Amino acid sequence: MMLSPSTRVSLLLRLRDSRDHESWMEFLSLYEPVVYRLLRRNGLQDADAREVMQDLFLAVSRSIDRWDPSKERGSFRGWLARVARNLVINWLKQRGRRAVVTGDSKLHTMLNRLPADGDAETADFDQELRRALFHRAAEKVRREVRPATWEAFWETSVIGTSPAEAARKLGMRAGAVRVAKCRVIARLQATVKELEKTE
Amino acid sequence: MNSRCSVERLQSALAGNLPEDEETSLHGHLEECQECSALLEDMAGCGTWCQETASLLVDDELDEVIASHDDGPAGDFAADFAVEHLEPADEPTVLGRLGGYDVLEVLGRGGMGVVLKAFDRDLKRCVAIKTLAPHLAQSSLAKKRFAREAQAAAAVVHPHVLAIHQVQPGGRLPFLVMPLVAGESLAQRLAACGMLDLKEVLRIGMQAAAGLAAAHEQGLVHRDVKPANILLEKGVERAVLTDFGLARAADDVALTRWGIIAGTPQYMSPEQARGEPLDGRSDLFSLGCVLYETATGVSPFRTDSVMATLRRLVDEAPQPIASLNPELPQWFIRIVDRLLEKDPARRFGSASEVSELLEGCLAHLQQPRNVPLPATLGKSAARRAHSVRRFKVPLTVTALLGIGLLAAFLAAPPPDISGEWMGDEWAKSC
Repeated sequence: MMLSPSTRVSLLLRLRDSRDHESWMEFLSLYEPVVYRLLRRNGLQDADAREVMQDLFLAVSRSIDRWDPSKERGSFRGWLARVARNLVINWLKQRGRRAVVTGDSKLHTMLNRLPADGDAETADFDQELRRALFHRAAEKVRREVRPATWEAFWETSVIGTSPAEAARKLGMRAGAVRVAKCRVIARLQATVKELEKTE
Repeated sequence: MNSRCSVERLQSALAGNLPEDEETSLHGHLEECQECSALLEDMAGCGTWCQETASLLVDDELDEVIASHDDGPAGDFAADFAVEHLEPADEPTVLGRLGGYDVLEVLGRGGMGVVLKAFDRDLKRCVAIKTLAPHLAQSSLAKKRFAREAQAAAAVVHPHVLAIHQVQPGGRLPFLVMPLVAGESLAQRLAACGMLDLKEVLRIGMQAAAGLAAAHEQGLVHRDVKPANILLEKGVERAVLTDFGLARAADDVALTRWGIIAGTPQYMSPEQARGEPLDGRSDLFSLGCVLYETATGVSPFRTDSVMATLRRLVDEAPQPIASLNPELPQWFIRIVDRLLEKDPARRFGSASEVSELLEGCLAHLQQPRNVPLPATLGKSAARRAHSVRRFKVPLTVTALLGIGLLAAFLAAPPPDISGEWMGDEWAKSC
């Protein structure tokens, strides 16, 4: 059903200063880098990727009037995540085939059609989303631990330096490096799981 | 495993709960005890997590590409663009050839198009070529729209609209050819100067509105009036509008394909932000944004996010102009406020009306003693007047008015002119 413009606006307004609005901002901050990287990975230049990204998020924002709290299970946040995933994956597929889609119903389809699990586009999206999730969790954990602890983790786990070498570099004991690394890994795990639950 | 090892102790270490001395002794112990080290890693989930964590957190090739191209040298893009979209040229100074033009450099690029500097061999002159953005050129619908809008725009011949020499609708990359303007865009001028003085604001506004009026007469809505699309010619006091209707080429594709809009939300009208059908009054709103920004140095609806901008456009009033630049007269503020009315019916009726009004205001500003403010300002103000003080201190006003304005004042129909023009608000503004 097409809603009147004023209904659309009022739906946008409903988000203002509410928890939904917070959800929207949170959603953007997580998904913008994901979509940007996906578009760049698909060969779009910086300016083009930014433009398309803006269009896609506008589409999501405009589809807010399709969100019916009484019918949809789960949170507004979860719904946003679902709709964005569908739209972006379907957009990438359509782009690949260079097909022209017209009409509101097609947008509706793009927002709602669940992409198949085995697709390259789906795999790419989920991989990028997971990457963003890890980066977000890492950012959170980094702020929670002491700088030396984080450094020890980064050296050994991400860069791949041996604990002994990292210990020398950071002026720590190798045992302290091991504990630091494991502590961060454990925290990261817990944080990722926690974020997954709320995303 | 020796007596100093315990799962509980390792667990506390992971959680960061060990007392400092115990933590220190554990560090020493781990250096000797392989078993405890392995157990600790196991408990932390390193087996399954370490590899994924490392691969996801480390910068990959894409990060490097993004980092290297972000605002990087235009040369990379120019080279890629030339290879992909231009025919090769022999001369080393020429990037490539496009439809008979020698492309010399990439002047600019955005989401909707690429602007090239090129040389027209036949006419021995430099021109600006605007192509449809490569990602849009993949769609035949976008190509058609681009060609149609460019041809419509080419029909608008006006001193304040950038001429279109030629439209090349076919080929892999449709493009149009325009004069190369020596000068800068209003956006560039604002970036350098912050804000302009009122005379400049009025002049640019008047000329832009005149250009819009010419296009509106042909049924063409610009849809993307913004400082970047107003060019200020060097040496002469002339502003020209560019990119007529081109926003639409991308916009329609976006709309029909995805139900979404393109363009710069910052200067969009509320009806445009809602995706409603537009007429020329939408451009007037955008012009209002431009005047606001040109006179205050602040874009009225700028925010950090697209969504917040849309929401502000649709239902929030911008920060009062007077608070940003207290020197601006009330009549100017009222003109901008009226252009920025959310409801198109409450804005001015046409771009030509706005252009004439601004012209009259400019004349008044240049010769305040001899030229009165346009009388129509009174009408509009009176119609909309909210907190208007009517019929107050006529003597003071008369003293300030000067004879010319008084004449216009008397000639105008009394009910219309009886608004705030007579209040001390007005007197203050002069």
